[in-house]
Amino acid sequence: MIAFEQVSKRYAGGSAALENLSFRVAAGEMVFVTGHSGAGKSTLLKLVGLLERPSGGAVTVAGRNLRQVRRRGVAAHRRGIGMVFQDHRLLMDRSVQANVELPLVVSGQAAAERSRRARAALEKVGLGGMEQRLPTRLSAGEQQRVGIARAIVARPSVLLADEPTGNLDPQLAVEIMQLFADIQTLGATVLVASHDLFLIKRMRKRVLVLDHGRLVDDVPASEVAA
Amino acid sequence: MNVPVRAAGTPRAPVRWWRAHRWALAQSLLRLRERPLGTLLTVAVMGLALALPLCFWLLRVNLDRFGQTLGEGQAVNVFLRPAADAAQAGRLARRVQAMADVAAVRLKSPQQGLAELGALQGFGPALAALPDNPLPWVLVVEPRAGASGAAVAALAQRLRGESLVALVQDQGPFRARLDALRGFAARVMQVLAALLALAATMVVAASVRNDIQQRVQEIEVLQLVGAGRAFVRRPYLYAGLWLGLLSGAVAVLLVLLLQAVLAAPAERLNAAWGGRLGLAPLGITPLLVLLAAAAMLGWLGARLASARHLAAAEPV
Ligand SMILES: Nc1ncnc2c1ncn2[C@@H]1O[C@H](COP(=O)(O)OP(=O)(O)OP(=O)(O)O)[C@@H](O)[C@H]1O
Ligand SMILES: [Mg+2]
Repeated sequence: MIAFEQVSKRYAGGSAALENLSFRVAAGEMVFVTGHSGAGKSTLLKLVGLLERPSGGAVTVAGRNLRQVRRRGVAAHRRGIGMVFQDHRLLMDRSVQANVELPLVVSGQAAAERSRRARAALEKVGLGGMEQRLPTRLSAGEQQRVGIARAIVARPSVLLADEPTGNLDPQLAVEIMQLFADIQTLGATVLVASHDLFLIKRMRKRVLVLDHGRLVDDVPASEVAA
Repeated sequence: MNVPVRAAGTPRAPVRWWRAHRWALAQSLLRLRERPLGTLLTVAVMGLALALPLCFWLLRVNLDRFGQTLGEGQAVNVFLRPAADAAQAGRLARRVQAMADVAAVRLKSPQQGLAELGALQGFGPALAALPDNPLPWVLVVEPRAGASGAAVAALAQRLRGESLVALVQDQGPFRARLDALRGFAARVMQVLAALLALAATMVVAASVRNDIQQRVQEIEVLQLVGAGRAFVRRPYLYAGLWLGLLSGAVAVLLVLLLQAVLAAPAERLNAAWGGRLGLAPLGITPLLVLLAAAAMLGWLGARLASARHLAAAEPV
């Protein structure tokens, strides 16, 4: 589903964020990306979501080399991908419901369908009943969960999550990770960037370890020690 | 592995297109309502800018009519040679009637001429003393309404070439001056109208730019969840359209108000000219044209602003 071949990324004026990165993620797999701060975890996810372009090498998603996705195709590419950001990127002046509905608006769903699916997604992240609240009146963890609801509401085939549990208490973090695993079992490919080793070990999924932009370890799920 | 990345249950393109438009429409109205003061200001300024050309137009239409009224009764008098008799004068009258730019030809016999002169105060006794009627046959030629000064001058020249004609009296210089004045006024108004339309477009563009700059985050989020260029842009284009339409409505109201205020003096002016002036209020057509033009200018302004300021926020 996702393949990196000799991918490098060098930001303008900076040193290399990723160097010669090669790996494959099968459709329906869930993979953690870990590493120290600045190792290139976010950069890796950004390349998959076409928030950035690689400086070298090829990123392939669903059999398509992203080099072939020109400017006009970026939006369509992103409609097939759900993204969760550490800073959640919510619209603070819109209700929780309106925020979660946004991907459905963009993909042209009918209002009734939008409303139904947004409620279901909010229910899933444990925010049932908060539909009409403004995000400013939610706790950091609740805001993060609104972001997650927004990422899963359109049932994307690829889900990218960058430190999705950074603001959550351990109990909630486990629940959210379990939610991602559920989404995986529905057929989605899930990529989670995290440096929460406790959580990663607990989930027993494949782990890619980055160090200064290089892939230093690729631990299969079966070898992740509890 | 060649599964297309596509969110489950994505509707077909026409349905998506239609729903996206509906959403953009609602968003655009919300935006105007969220910034009532800005909207009001934009609409007021643009409405004024649009009302002025319409006032010019009103003025011009009436100036044209005024000029025509003045030009009326400025018939070309064609004096025939004394030798010409009634039959010859009648034949010539019919020929002139068929000429281009001629509305009507009236034949005035020497007797009628004498009677008209006699009616003028003080001429009666003097005329009675004449042994003979010294007056010739006269053709009073009315040019077609709206005929230009040049056309009337050409007509007069043609009449002078007739062998029966002794003298042609036309108001050539007067008509030429009136025409020149009208042409000048029309050009000035066109230039001013174009400048004001440009100003109105810029007002909308500035308002939309403002809106875009206040919504950088929203635009970014929309792009992250897969909104394309057209989708992001659409609410702003609709907003421009609404601003244009509202401004057009303001301009129409202003002009109607002006007409109402001017109605009484215009009526007095008309009466002073013996009811021949007939100042014309604007019909429904120019008002509708103004509304459409205003909406278009608003849309254009929004297009300009969004092209420039959304380009910076484009995804990679
Ligand atoms: N927009 C950018 N411009 C320039 N350099 C960047 C940019 N984004 C990231 N970098 C650099 O690229 C490297 C990798 O950054 P990245 O954000 O991918 O790390 P990370 O693993 O996500 O770190 P963290 O755990 O702190 O989020 C870092 O050295 C960072 O300074
Ligand atoms: Mg990061």
